[in-house]
Amino acid sequence: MVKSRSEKIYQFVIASILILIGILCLFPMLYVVSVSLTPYEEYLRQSGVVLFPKKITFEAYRQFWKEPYVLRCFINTVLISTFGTALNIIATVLMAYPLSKRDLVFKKFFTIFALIPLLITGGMIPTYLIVKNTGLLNSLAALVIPTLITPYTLLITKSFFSSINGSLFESARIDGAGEFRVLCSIALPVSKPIIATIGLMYGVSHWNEYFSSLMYNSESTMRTLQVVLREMLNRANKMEADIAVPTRTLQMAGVIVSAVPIILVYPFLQKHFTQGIMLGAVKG
Amino acid sequence: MKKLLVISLILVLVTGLCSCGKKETKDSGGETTKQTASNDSQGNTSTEVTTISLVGVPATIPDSDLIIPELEKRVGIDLDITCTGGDEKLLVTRLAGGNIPDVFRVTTLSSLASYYKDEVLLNLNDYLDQMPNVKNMFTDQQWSRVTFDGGIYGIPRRMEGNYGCWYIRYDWLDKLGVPDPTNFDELLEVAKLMTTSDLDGNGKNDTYAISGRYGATASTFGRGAFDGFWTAYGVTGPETIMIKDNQAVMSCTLPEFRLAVEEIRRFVEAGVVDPEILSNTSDSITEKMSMGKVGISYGGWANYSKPAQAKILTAVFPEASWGPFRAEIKTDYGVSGASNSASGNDAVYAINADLADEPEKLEAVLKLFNYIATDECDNLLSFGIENEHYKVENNTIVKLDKMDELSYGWGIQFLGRQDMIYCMTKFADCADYIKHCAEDVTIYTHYGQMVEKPSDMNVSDIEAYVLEQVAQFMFGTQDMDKWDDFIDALYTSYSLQDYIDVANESLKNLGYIK
Repeated sequence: MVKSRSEKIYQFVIASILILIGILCLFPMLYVVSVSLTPYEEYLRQSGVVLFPKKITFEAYRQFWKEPYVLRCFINTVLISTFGTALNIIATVLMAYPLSKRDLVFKKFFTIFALIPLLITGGMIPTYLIVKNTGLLNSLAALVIPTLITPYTLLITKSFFSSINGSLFESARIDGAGEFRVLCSIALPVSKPIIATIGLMYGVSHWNEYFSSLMYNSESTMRTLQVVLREMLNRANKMEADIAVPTRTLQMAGVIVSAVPIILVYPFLQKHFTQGIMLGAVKG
Repeated sequence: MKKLLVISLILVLVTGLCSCGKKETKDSGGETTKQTASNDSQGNTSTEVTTISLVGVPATIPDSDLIIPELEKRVGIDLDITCTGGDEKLLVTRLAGGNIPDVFRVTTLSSLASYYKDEVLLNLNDYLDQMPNVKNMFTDQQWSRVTFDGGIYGIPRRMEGNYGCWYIRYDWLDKLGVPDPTNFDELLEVAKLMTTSDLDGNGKNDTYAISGRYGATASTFGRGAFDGFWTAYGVTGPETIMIKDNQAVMSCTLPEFRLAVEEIRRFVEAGVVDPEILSNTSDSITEKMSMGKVGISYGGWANYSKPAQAKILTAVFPEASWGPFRAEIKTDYGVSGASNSASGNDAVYAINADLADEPEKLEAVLKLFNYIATDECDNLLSFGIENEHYKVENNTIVKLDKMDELSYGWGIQFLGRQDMIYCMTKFADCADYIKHCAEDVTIYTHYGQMVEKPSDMNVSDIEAYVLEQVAQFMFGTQDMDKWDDFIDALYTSYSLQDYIDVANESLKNLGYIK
């Protein structure tokens, strides 16, 4: 199709605006990366404006990894973000699938029961007491089990399963498949978008875990990366003779280490993410 | 399906493995003990070492720490320490949830008062005789800070010296050929020259003579941008409580405070004050100082004079020579100096009231604190292990290189330290600055942190309002004609008088007001 001159101008203007917005979005990330790779003296010499580092050093990263418990806490974060997310997905799917069935006995009761926390949360102290009394304190499980199924993800997953054409399940049952077989062989293969979506939601939430880690894990070795990062950034505000204020380059290296892994996951899941949210949100 | 089951099992197992903590045995009373092997004369008996849970250490203790194990060995206990970075949320939750640690750090005296009301603190009156070293370490006035209705509910902390004062770039002063300013007119002239003379030589009009950090006195940690101004007029930060004529007053309500604001306004109108003062952070000030964008800044020797900091400040301009003001700025009301809280570092340690029913554990806790209050333990917690971190020569402690690894030491000095000896030993390179700040700088004391905050009013609302309004007056967005309206609003809309009444009562009880 031949585009008219006005259409071409229109496309050009739109593309330019989008490119500009894209650059504006990229700028802070580029800045953080550049500062983290620049020698601190060089950063100061350039008055803090470093878009592309003239000299590259990994000193800030070396310093960051030398912070007490940082490696251990990084591993903890990776563990809860991978295995924790996998458990989240399994549990959410196992609960959402039966709730999506029209003929489930007490379906309404179970659905309302599961969605109550969406409106009324347990509160900090009762939740702490449950975690304590179930013996989860000072374990990584304390960061996964209490939020194993979140009501919002359950709701969109249930809606997604409800939107799958019932005749697919019907034909599997005629062939002799049980419910678990139907779930694994029919429902899950066509549910990649929703699994990617809830996986990303759970994953991001685990990766950013801060408060639960601080509350439930008193041992420094059982905490998450975000706790270490906050402690490091907070140090700048303490008036103590012993404290060395972390330099800007060190702070930025911390930001990169704590943000980049999760940012890298986005592009792989993005196409499923939008689809999953839309399907789960509008059909039910 | 089998695959899925296997994967699920593996995941559950992995999570379960991750949940493994350190191995402890808990007896029926909830007391945690640790089995340690020891050889007695017969050969192979084992002793039970009491474990004391201690929550709230504000610094992260690294794995490589040798001090706490040494302390445990010397006292014969096991310490289960939780580092919180100074955040009290974890403690509040544990107290509310009934999971009360044996010993915990309370960051403010107001919190201590509130925990006292919740009856979670042990009354130490009956136990002080078992801690004679602790009893003798503090004065009656220091004990009175942690006393409620005649009972002692916390162990105070020794105060640290003053670290803060005004810093100036002396090489710029020399370049300008002007003497050290001794009054605000001279300071303004110097500030104008610093701002307009392009002393950093970058050809840009990007230098402001005066910078720093403005905010609540308790959170600026000695970097109060205008402390030099307030103190020169005999007052402290706007929201602080002072004692004038034997009465508690909020600093901003004093006539001298208004004069200080008018003085700052004169500097702001002359264009010599960093307009980013309201948003500066600790590191952004250091960076501005290093980049030649600032000529005068309020701060502490620990921020500007330690070798690592000095290296940063001279990174761009090797000739930069930062140092504390040699001369004081004087007015009819006071001398530019520093403002410090009468409470010093507010944090105190408290003991769980339930330990009264666990005599063995209580004895271990009392033994621990009594040992901490000895000179021997002071050396351990301040300087580390002899011949490893320090050596003693002619009865003087001499630092060894390994002492630099103890950057977390401040967090485990449970009862504070002998600050002057500590700083002079550990930071000998800064001896002149340390002495200057501690001995030569005039200190003005404020008392707000000693006042038990009334439960029916939100004092932080008053403080936030005061800080915001004063900033507007200083930076000219509010006309000085409206100053009296601002003070009236404090009394009419914010019930300031009620707070002042409480402050008078608290400070009278503590002996600061006769």
